[in-house]
Amino acid sequence: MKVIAVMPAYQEKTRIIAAISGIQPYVSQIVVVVDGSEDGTFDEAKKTSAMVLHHAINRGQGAALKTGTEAAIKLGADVIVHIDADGQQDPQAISKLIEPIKEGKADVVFGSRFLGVDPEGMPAVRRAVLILGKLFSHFILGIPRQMTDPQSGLRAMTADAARRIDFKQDRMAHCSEILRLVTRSDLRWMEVPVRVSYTKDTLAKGNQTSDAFRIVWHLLLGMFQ
Amino acid sequence: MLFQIVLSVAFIASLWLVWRRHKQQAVSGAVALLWTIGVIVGLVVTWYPNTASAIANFVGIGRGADLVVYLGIVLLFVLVFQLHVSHVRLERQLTKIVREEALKDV
Repeated sequence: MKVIAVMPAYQEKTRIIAAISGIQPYVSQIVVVVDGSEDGTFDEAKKTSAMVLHHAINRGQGAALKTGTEAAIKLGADVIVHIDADGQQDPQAISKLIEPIKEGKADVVFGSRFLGVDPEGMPAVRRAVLILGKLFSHFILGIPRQMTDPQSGLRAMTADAARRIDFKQDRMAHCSEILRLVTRSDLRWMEVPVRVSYTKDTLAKGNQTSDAFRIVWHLLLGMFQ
Repeated sequence: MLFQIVLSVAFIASLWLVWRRHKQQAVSGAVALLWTIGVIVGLVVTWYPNTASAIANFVGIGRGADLVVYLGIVLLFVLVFQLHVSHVRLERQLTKIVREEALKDV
């Protein structure tokens, strides 16, 4: 079974090599999409065995994930894993994500930070925003209540599911859009617990609390496309 | 009187421009039609201000001028939102081009 990891990367020069080496033992191939970085992320990623694609200008995490996913399908992936390049997510989680797919129990598997494995260093404000996001996802977007972590960026899916999940959000709202598409289709989905570690460094670069409002706004605009 | 003439000329000029753009296929028929209705309403209210007051009274707003301001705010909101939507559409087209370029050697 060919497992391809798709890793969008923006301004990750200092972390990209470690992130790629971390996931290498768990996948057959890695596709890194350098999303208009100007800090040398592309040159750093090129030093590894990963396939490195390049967005000429920054188009957002969702756009980079979609580019990588299309590349993975072209490369003949059976399973596609979406993972961040900042090293927050534990690479060992990949095995847990792809297991239900290998066993034929699910088409899409989401990693959850709230299924028993406590996230390390997650600020209380972030936790509160994620809880509000969960309520918004349930009441406004109609995402099932049993989904514990609607904003998780760690997921695995079969190539067939990836073809069917035609997400269009270029920036951070892609998480909610993917969930909405998956849970409204006949694709079988499940969540598995994953460990995530926040550091000062990753928190400074990662999603800000104010991004929650931007996500809601983009989802609203997306409804009129 | 002068104000009414200036406003009427502006309304008619905008109407001429919109239908010209429609002929050049830059503006859809629906938008041109909507614009025409708007201009007709504008002309009526300009020359017969009492009509605005009558409508305002009918919907429970005190003065005709207030009604025009409220409608103007709603219209501006819709136009700004439309601009945002078309901006997102352009962004997605841009993404498509960037993606095609990134994937050309895969």
